[in-house]
Amino acid sequence: MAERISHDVTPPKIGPDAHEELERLLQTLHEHGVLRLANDVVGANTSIASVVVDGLGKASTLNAIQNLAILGMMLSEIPPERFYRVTFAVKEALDRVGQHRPVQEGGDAPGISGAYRMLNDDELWRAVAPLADGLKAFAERLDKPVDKPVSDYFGKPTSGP
Amino acid sequence: MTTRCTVVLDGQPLSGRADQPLIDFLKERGVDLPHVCYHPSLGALETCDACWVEVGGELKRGCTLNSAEGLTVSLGSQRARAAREEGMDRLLAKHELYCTVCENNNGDCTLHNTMVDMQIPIQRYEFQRKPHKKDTSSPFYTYDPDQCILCGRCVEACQNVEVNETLSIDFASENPRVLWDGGKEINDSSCVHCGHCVTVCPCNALMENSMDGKAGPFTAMPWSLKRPMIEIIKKLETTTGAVPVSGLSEIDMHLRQPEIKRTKTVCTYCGVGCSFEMWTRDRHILKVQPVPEAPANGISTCIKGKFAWDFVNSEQRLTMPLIRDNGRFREASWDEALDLVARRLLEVREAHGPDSLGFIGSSKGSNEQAYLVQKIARRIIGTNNVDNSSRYCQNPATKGLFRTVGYGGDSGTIKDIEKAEVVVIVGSNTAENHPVIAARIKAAQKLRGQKLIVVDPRKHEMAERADLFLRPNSGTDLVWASALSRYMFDHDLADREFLARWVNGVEEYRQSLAPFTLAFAEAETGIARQDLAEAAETIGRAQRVCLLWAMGITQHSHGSDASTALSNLLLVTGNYGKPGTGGYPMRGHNNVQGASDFGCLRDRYPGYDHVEDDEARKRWAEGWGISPEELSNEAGYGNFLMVQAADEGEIKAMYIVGEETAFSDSNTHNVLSGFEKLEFMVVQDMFLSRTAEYADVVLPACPSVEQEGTYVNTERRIQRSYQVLEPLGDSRPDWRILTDLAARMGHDWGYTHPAEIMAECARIAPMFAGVSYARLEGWKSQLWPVSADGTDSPLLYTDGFANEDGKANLHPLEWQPPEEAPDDEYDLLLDNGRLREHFQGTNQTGRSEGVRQQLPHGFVEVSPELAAERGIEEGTWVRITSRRDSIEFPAVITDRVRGKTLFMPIHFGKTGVNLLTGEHNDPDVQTPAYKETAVKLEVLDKRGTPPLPAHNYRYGRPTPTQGVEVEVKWMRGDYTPPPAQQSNPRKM
Repeated sequence: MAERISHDVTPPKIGPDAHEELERLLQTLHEHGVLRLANDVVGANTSIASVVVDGLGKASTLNAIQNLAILGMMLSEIPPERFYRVTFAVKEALDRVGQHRPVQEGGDAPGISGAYRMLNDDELWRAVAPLADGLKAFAERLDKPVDKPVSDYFGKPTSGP
Repeated sequence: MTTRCTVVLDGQPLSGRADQPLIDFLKERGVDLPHVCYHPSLGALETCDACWVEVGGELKRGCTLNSAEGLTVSLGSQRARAAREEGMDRLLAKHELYCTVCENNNGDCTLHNTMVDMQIPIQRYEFQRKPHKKDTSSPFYTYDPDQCILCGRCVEACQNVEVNETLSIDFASENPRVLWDGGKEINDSSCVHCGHCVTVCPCNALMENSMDGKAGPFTAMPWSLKRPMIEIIKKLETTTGAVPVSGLSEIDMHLRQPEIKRTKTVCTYCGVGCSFEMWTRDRHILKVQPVPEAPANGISTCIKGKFAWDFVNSEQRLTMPLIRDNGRFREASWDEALDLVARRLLEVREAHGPDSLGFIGSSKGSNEQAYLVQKIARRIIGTNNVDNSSRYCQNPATKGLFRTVGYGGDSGTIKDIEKAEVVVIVGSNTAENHPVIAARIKAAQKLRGQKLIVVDPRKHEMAERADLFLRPNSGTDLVWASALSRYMFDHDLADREFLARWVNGVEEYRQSLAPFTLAFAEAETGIARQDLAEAAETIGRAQRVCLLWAMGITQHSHGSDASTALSNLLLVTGNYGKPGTGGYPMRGHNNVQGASDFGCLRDRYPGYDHVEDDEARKRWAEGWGISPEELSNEAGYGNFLMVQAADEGEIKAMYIVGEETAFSDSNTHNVLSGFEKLEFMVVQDMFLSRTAEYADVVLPACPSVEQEGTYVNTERRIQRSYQVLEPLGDSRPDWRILTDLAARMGHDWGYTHPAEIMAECARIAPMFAGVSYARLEGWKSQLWPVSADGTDSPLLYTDGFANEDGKANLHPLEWQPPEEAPDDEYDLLLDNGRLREHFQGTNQTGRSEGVRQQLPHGFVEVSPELAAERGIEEGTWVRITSRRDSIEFPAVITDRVRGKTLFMPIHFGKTGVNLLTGEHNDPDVQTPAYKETAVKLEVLDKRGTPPLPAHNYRYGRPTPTQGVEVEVKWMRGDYTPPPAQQSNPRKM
């Protein structure tokens, strides 16, 4: 006679625990060579540190780091729209400078006024003319209103993402 | 024959299939035409405006075009590009992009992928919140209006694929959104949680709750953290543009891929045989994702297949063998448990002979499981006492088909049912028990004018949708079916040419129909004579008729005869062997067809070879390397008789795999008494079921998703299911448990994979000669019979019938009334069956909190007229008493039942409805007459809350439409076709 038995099942473990997750992470790191790289880095840490310290200790590196910090300080205070206008104004000024063709656009000194020597110094005028063009472009761009840099850049208006 | 064509795309000729959607045509040739609302299973919705092309100088939506000879399309023109980008900009105005912290950024987000592919530099219109709250009322999915792009895929799927007709979009309203029943919360609507809408959503507007916080490395963050991160990125994006941000989300999408596993599996609930991808991360089931390639269901699922998989990770799962020891179970090792089972089974055989043991294979388990159960019974023990739960439901239908057409399975496929001019559903609550097949019928009726006739005592959803609903007295189906057959002969509607060529016994059958006049049928069935005539005219004049039936026919004392009568009717009208015709017994469990096909039947080897057939016996003996004499040539006991024999002391030991016999066999008292008398009982299951509580040894088995195997659906379609998860704890796949057990009984068969088991069966059984795992790879399937070269048989009887002379047989029948009927004392009739939300004894669905929320309690349905007569109100408790026992449930008052018929769902209670049912059964196949239970009703002085919660879908009010009404959007005065800009893109 087999009578009915009520029995509470031992709850099984469902899903990986932290140790299994860690094991999997280790395996993935191993398979992708990250562990090897990490081993190599840690194994050579004194030599690598020495190279890094040597490099960091150079005056030029220290200058670069300090200058980047100054740039960061400055950038943090400029609204992106204004920075965009200035940087792209510079870009366009530079473009214009680069596009200057002394022969096509005439290398002769213009006008009758100005410094006497300049008026007669064609070579000097040829040197200054592109910079003047660049300044014009810079000013034109600065005068152009920009709502959103991305719209100005891609030429597609946006009311925002 | 497929016609080919050449399409000219931006000056380049592309050749391929003609009359194919242009988007698919181009995709197959490596060209991506951006699109969002188009879905191959839904067609062109024309809502997203992201797929514009130029044809003959005109802008056209690409989704509306089909490949055709000479079609010249410009994809790259400036105007088409601008129009597509404007369309996408409008979509992005409605959808907040936060892909890296979005659950849907898994590589299949249509919106994200299209936006990235189009290289949108920045969206034109700013996203702004909509004045609608997120709907989190459903336990299964969430709708977020802020993410919704109003593409209407969900509406199309709900209206025209599932045809539940719950979802709509009112494009004329001020702030359109997807609506449930015109504006209810999801969980308070007619939504049946089939999941179609979530499956087809192209973004995260509709999302499975199981995904929430689980899909990606950053998605688990709380919104208090996600929100400021999203705002930071959006701020940066106004400078950087969208490309670097999309790049981040692409990296995130790739980061997710190694973690998310997508595995094809086959659903283990009903017999439709849905297959889909199951997405998992570790053991967590992220979601079930149906795909268009799935042969039986495409993108369709029901609440159970889509959402009811919590049982897989239930803490109630058995993970250690249990052995009965001094009145309790103790955990044991596999070695100890299997040694004990092997020893005791052999001892019982030694002491009492092979026929003192009985085996029940699982109709939920795989074909390979079924094959091994019968092989152990026949080859090792030497008995044909082996069966499966088709005895409780399907054997009468199979008998009816054997008698007439020869094969015990559906004549054709679901596609044939779709093609039929007329579908007749008899005794089948298809919308709840085979929801995906019901969806196909509903769609055929709604979209293509298919006629639907329903014959059923219960007014279920299909009855409400029917063009003609006939409500017969219970158990009288043979009468009306035979009367219709007679009508066909009498009114020259019989297919005389078909009968002359393909059918035996026509004249004898016709004579047997003499008593079945319409007057007689009207008197016996209660169906009005003119309704019978209308049904006969509709069936008789149609070119293609499919007839579906289920438990409403089979679970009667003469279910085989009623099934035969239905098949006779199909023969008389010539409805076999042509596309869109045939008989379709709706198989109830996912593998009740396969368990029978692969030999868990008391009188049949795999492939329906009869055990008394000497040729077959010889072939199986040779296949198994033994002499024929070692195999019994006498039919054994089916499970119903097995349990009776146990009660009488004749059966001494039973081995039950995955069946809840203590709950599903009729007259529970006798079943439990039989179990108590067994000398030894083994149960192999996922849970400590009601049946397992009587076992001496309980072996912990895996669910389908933790093992490989094949299953046969109601169409006879064999499908392969892959392993999604590792077995939980120390549970094991069924095939492995049975293989190990056989080895311990001295028969080391050495199977290392279920493919080897299938290969062995295919070598011996001609029906499966060409079946192999290689041919079933991926989404491929085979419908038996399968010849050695792999050719399968989607439609049976195209070249004759499966009888010796190749002809069908009309089978004369006599009307016999039900064995148990109401009388003066037991004055009511108790009907019973399944509900959509649950499955059988709720061993699986009962572990799902969401399903329990939909249907928490059992109840009994009482007709309004009976309720008025007896003073019963909603929630009043009643005691139902049959000749066996009593059971108490609260009442639900509904016109789904009529007069003195009650209906009780089979799912609830420790013992369930079978405390009331009797052992009277169909003498041809011993299927209990579950549907013939006379009862009396006593009103108790106790009233609770309505047992069917007010939020249950049955109280919802669907809002049928023709689909997505995009024309309403176009007719709005403020709608402007792209590429022109839109003043208010968020509002349409």
